[in-house]
Amino acid sequence: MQDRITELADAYRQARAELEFLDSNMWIGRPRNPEFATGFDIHALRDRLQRYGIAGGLVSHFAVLTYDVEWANEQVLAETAGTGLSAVVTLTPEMFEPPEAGRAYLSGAIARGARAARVFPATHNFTLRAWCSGALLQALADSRLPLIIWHTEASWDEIRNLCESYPEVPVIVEGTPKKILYYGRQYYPLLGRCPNLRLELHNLVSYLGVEDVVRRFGARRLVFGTYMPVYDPNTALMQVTHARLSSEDKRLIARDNLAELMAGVKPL
Amino acid sequence: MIVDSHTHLGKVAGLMLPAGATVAGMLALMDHLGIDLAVQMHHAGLFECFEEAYAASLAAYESSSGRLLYALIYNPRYGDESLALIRRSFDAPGAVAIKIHPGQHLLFPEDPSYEPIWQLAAEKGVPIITHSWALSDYNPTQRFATPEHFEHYLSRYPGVNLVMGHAGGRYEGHLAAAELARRYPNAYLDLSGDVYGFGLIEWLVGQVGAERLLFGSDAVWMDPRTTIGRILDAEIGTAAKALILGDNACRLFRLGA
Repeated sequence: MQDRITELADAYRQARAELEFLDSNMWIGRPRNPEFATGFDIHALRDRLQRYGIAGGLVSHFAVLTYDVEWANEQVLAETAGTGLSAVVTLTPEMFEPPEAGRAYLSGAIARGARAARVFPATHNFTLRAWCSGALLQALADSRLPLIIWHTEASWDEIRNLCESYPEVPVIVEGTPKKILYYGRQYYPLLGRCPNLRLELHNLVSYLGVEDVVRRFGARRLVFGTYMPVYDPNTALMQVTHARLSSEDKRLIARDNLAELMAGVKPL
Repeated sequence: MIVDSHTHLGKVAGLMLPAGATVAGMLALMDHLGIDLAVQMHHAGLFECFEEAYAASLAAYESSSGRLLYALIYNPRYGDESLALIRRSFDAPGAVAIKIHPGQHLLFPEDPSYEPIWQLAAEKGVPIITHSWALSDYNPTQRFATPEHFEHYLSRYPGVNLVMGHAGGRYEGHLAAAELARRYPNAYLDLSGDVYGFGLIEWLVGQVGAERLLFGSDAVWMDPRTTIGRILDAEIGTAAKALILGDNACRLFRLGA
């Protein structure tokens, strides 16, 4: 039994290394409840990337949830500078009053390496409707900055409206701790309806969920992410390494889809 | 032998399950991942249709050539009927455990209506597998299954092994489940469900020992790959991984090596 386990573990690590994962969902800063994790700065994150064979990706800061969005954005922009990692900046509607101010802020963040944005409409008490977030969303559309949103932060109908109103915005839905699998009856039709909608992997843990999405909508609709250091990255990693998919599809999910989105960001 | 100690078959009205959530689909994925056996707890039994659960479980056992073992599900809301069916069903092959789900049946685990099933488990020498979780701000029924509630019967039936499914579910539940397992040698924890916390497996091994942990996936809700990779890559020894991935299940469910 032990020989068999060693063989399985070695094969898994080898498959992991070969795919050169890019992770869209890495965090620094202290989470509200660290649970069993330790080490929340950029150095600890980089050590973990090496440990799990992840080549790079997008980094967010936990303080955007609770404290000061612009302060936390500054932290993550500064911490990722020169590391090969890219920052995710969090946005709120008032940052775009007037719209030119928000666009200047976003332009500066992109110049410093930001390659995605987040919004937290429920936690930050706003709506994604145009009357409230129109300037913010238009800036994202103009810059093609991918927008990452937790499924617990907006209704699926709001996400539909967002995707349909701003088809140039690449929208990536993820989020914990509530299982996203409860909402298959909503996100499946939306994937069919909104070509700019993508799902991230760390909470797409439903049985055969990765293969089922690829079979129905193609591998380009999935973006790899781990929610490290809150989640064990192996949760998402093995979903790709051991997917019953072609090598090309695995490569798209593991890195190419995110790389393409990051490369598509334009200066404002 | 690698054993997935916590799986389900059958529909759930509130969920859209993939086409592969079938006996054939489960066996194909088990083959792909190197899983030899699984213990399944049919959804029909969690939802009051325990006769259907038994019939479907027996059919799955037979059509899988014995690879899909099953737990007989006790519903304390229909105690007499449920108990009689379980008692009869142990005569058929494939039943290796009894399942309770206090969060689904909305009765706290120390309720007297569970006493007959603990008595039967003691008489038959089979383990009980239970759902366990932490208090949840979006699922209030989880309050029926927080680990401390299981102490009542764990302490009174030291000869009955109890597997706390999901190892308590969320952080506070993990703490409470580990505390119970430290105090009661007949308490086990399985790693099934969306319990993916960074460092959880290493912490549990440190708290209760690998001898008390079981690999479970919670298929056909969760995909087994979300849990196997974490065990294979955990910072614990290979011997500990062997215990978690199968040796403990073989001992607990009396499976051939």
